Amino acid sequence: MTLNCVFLAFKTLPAVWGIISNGMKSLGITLALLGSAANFWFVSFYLPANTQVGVEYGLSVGPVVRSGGDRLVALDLTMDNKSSVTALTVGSMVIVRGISYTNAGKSNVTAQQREKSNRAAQQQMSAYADSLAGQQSVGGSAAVQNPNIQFDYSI
Amino acid sequence: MVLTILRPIDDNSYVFSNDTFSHYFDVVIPESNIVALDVETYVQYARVTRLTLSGHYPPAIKPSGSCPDDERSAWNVNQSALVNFTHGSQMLYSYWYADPANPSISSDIVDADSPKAEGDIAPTISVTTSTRDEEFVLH
Repeated sequence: MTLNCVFLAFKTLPAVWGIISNGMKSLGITLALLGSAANFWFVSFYLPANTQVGVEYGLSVGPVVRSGGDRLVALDLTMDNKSSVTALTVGSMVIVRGISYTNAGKSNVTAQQREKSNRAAQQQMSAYADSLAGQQSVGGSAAVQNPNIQFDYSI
Repeated sequence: MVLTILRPIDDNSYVFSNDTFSHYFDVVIPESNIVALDVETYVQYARVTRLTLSGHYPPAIKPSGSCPDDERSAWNVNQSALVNFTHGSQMLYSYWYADPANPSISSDIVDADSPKAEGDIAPTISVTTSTRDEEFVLH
């Protein structure tokens, strides 16, 4: 687009230069200079001063190594400044917490009980699906069954 | 249970454009029932076009409010985009509170000579706080 405009200006300006009044020439040159100065100020001063810093964080965990009774894990934190502006850090903190579950691995629920619970939940879900599939439209206000959802009655 | 609190990047450090900073550290997990790690990262930064610092004062313990052993670092504000209408000498205070119960960081721009200028400058320097919280299951 810019190249097209420059090409057009070079082709047309010499032809019409003689018929343009001096006042219009001065006005055109002044506007062109002002436009160039504004563009230079915008690119060189305004944009660098007002661009936001964009930092992208990455965190990776290495393998867990056992040392005596302790475990040791290596973490790698990276900060990648994706913006065109340099960032000045004025404070930083990393907090690593250990998460443990109460009675983890000591549950009193047996495998048989868990299986029974899963089966009961599945039966309830199937019954609910049956009840939805069997609903009749009342007065045209009931929800229309979604053709993309199908219930598996084989369970 | 807090396992580690550390400062991954020194205060008054530059993170250059399109550059990557990396900090590698080890964490000791003393208890066998810990099944996952929760890692919180806090970074406060400003644009160098708005703020540069000079003249670092040694860190000192400055009790403040709920932080009895708050570590405070201080710098002179060397240059800001608002230097044209600033008055007197401004300082930036960076607070590091590593209490396991409630760790935190914060920062302040302080102008002892002109509280009004202090109120005008701080928002325009616009120190940004970014936070990340990630969890990793240990295998």
